[in-house]
Amino acid sequence: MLSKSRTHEWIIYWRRIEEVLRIIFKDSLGATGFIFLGVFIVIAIFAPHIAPFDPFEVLYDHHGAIIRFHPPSRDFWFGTTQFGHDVFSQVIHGSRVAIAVGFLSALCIVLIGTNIGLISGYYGGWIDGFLMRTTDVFYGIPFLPFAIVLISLSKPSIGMVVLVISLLMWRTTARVIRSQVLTLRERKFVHAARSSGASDLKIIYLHIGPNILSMTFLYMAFGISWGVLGEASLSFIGLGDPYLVSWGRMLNEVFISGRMMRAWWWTLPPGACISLLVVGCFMIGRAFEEVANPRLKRE
Amino acid sequence: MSQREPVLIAKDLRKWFPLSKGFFHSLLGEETRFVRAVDDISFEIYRGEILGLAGESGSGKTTVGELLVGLNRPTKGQIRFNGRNIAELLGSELRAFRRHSQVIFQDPYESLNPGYTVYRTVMEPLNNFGIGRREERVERISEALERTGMKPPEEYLYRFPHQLSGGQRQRIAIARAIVVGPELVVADEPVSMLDVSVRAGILNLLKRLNQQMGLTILYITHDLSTLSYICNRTAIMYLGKIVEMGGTTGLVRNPLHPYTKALVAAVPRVAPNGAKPRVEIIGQIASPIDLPVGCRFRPRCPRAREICEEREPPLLPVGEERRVACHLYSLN
Amino acid sequence: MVLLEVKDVRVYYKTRKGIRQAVDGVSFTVEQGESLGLAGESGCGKTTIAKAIIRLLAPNSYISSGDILYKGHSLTGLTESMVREIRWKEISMIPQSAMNAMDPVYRVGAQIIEAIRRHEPIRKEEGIRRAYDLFEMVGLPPERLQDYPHQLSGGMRQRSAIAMALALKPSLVIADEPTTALDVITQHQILEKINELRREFGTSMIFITHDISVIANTCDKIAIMYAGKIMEYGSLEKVMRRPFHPYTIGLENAFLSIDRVADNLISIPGSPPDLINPPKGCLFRYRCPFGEPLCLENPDLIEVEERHFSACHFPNRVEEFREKGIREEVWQIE
Repeated sequence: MLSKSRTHEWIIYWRRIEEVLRIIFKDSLGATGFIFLGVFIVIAIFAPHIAPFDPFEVLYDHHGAIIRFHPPSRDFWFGTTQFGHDVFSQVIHGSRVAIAVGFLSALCIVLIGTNIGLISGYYGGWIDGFLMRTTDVFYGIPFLPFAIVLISLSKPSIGMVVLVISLLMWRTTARVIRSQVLTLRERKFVHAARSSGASDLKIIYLHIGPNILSMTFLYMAFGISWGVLGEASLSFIGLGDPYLVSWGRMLNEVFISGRMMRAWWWTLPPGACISLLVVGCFMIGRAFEEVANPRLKRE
Repeated sequence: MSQREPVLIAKDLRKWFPLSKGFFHSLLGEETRFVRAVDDISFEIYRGEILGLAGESGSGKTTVGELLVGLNRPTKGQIRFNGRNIAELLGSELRAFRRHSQVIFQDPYESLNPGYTVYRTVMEPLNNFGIGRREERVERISEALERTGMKPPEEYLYRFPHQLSGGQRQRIAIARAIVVGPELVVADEPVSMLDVSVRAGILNLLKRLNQQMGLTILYITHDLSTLSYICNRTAIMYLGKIVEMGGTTGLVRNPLHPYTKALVAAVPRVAPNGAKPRVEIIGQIASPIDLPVGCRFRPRCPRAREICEEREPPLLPVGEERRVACHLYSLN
Repeated sequence: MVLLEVKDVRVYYKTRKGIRQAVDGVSFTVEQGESLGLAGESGCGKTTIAKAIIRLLAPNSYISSGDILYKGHSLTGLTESMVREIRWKEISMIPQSAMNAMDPVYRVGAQIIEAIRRHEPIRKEEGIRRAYDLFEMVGLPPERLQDYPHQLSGGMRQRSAIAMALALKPSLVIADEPTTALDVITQHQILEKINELRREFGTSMIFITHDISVIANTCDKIAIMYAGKIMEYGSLEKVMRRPFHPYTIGLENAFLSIDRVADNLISIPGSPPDLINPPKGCLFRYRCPFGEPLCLENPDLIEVEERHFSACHFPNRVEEFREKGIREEVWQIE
């Protein structure tokens, strides 16, 4: 009986997800965002098959000289870098870092932020005070200096990048979720659950939690974009993973070469990709907002 | 005559909500002001009765309900439930107590979790209180649904709240309350958000549960009409105090306290035959923060006297079954 | 003299799931000085028809057919600016929650004065004087004109809403559940005040509520609505004392009143049908214990007595309805 009940509930959840997806896709903004994200995910997954060269492979011409600063041609669609690397392959492989960092950071941000928001909003009192003051402190910490300090204490790697981003960017999620929880906890079915003997933990995670899920997904979408931007910024100043190619790292290299403007074929692709991915995430986020807060519906 | 054994005795029950002072006022050492929602009241609820608690908004009746089911802690005073003072309970003890005192809320659209099936909603208390084993629980749930008129239970078990009407949702809420076999159920305006044609059904259900199961009910409302229909006794509250208490029929037909008189007279009658009773009351309700000195009803009372400004009238027996808090009756 | 005539009006809503026939062929009249009570339960369409009269319908709703005549002139054909002329001056509304009538960032007095000055070119001092008079009229201390809406209690806010509705001495006031959210004593005071003002100014009124006892104390005529249609309509006394429609009979026997605490109250199980693609025929037949095959055809309003109408095919069975209708078992059909 319980399983039958659970089945019915899963059916409803699935229908709700369908409804949400329908809303998002009907909204042209949301659909576009999803397409962008989808395309990048596919590229990231199939990168080795799409890229014609290894991103760090040095390319030689038939004279044996390294092909540097070669503008786009039939052989090298996006041209080459200062080091003789194929820009197109680098851009393709760069998507892997972007997507990986994006999703991992988003996950961590959402996990930390949602839980802090839930606990802070539900308990109130000194717990709320303590957690919110902590959040305020984190709001005050600037991203790059913090990153520089942390990474210089360790060594640059993709893990450190994810860590740094996650440690800071949960703050907005926590605040927003908390305010949602403040309203939700006054709703009568929460009181009813308490009267039915539910413990605080059960109420937080079984009653309130499911009702803030749409907010969580919203911040997941934003989280991906924060992750991508954060990674790009860190790599741009050379704090990224030295063994992986990323869009930020590409921008870093072209910047150092001093030919940012002249070697436009090297500058444009990574910049455009970062922009497209971030914009796509924001578009998804905007469409999600409509779900999370139906009053924002744009008819 | 029912056995007059009390399920619950409230003694000097008080719930004051502090008003936040703000930084400067705290600095200046100003006294904290309170909203005196429930102001030192005492009453008892007898086993097997339906006690009505009536009053307007701001009277404190909803707060009393919250205190009796453990959803709020008294500032002072005792709530003796079968001998135990639940006002002192904390944490898991308090949680365990809640099984004996359940609540039904006013809004049938809000009191059920929209993502839970009926089964899960009614199962939850059994789960939380650790009642019975798997098979036994299923039986209890079916029985609770049948008792509340949801027959056959299988048809409703897997539905969601949005698939049910307001009246049906309220029945589910009642089923959830009675499935654990509580001793007391506090019903806070259970029908005021339901359509007129459905109200009697829910009230009849409560009556039936009271008669068949011996379920003790505290019925909180501002609507004297529904109250007269099912409550054996009634207590009238005003600004945190009980002003009159007694058998419902007698109280409605022959109210003694000026406030009760005004309340009863103000209810619109469907078939006004003869002269309408005059509502003798002046002005607006006072604020529960700055209470008047002496009797708190004095500023609105058409029969106020000097003593009413000096002393608050205590709740004293008048005749067989009535208690009134008014100097008009205690000065004999 | 007929002040307002609603003729076979249909108001439909566009929703995601289809078109909701919220009001489906409603007709009634309000004479000068008369008060009509529109009674019904949630979803019956009473608020919708009121909003249609005063043209305050939501953007996704529209009047599909029918006409609304005020003093002989059609309201449905008017442009928005013409309707704005009429609003407050000829027909005004007291909404369910007074907070909906008032802007929270302006003082109450200022709002009243502004409403007056939008329709009549008067000087500010004159406006202030009139606001004073209005507040006195509804029993509010004039100092409170300086307050913002949130500083007033619910009862006071409702009284200000009444003051605002009467500011330009309209001929017709539509009150949408004006006392539902109020305490019994405040409700009594406000109803008394409304009756007093009606007597003094001869204002006509449409009183919308689900509480029949309120209508019994304020209205001359009553129309009982269900699922977007009128079930019974006529003078208050006739409909209350000699109801013809099973729904009316059911409602009256389900209605709890302090002076009618019968031991055998009935309830009508079930709920109104979905008004998106509603079925044909009498929409009450799903809950009516007296149904017959003829109920599959939509009943028109039949005149069962002088100026008393019922939308039921069987006025001849009314004795049976009234006798059986007081018994609970009769309504528990499956």
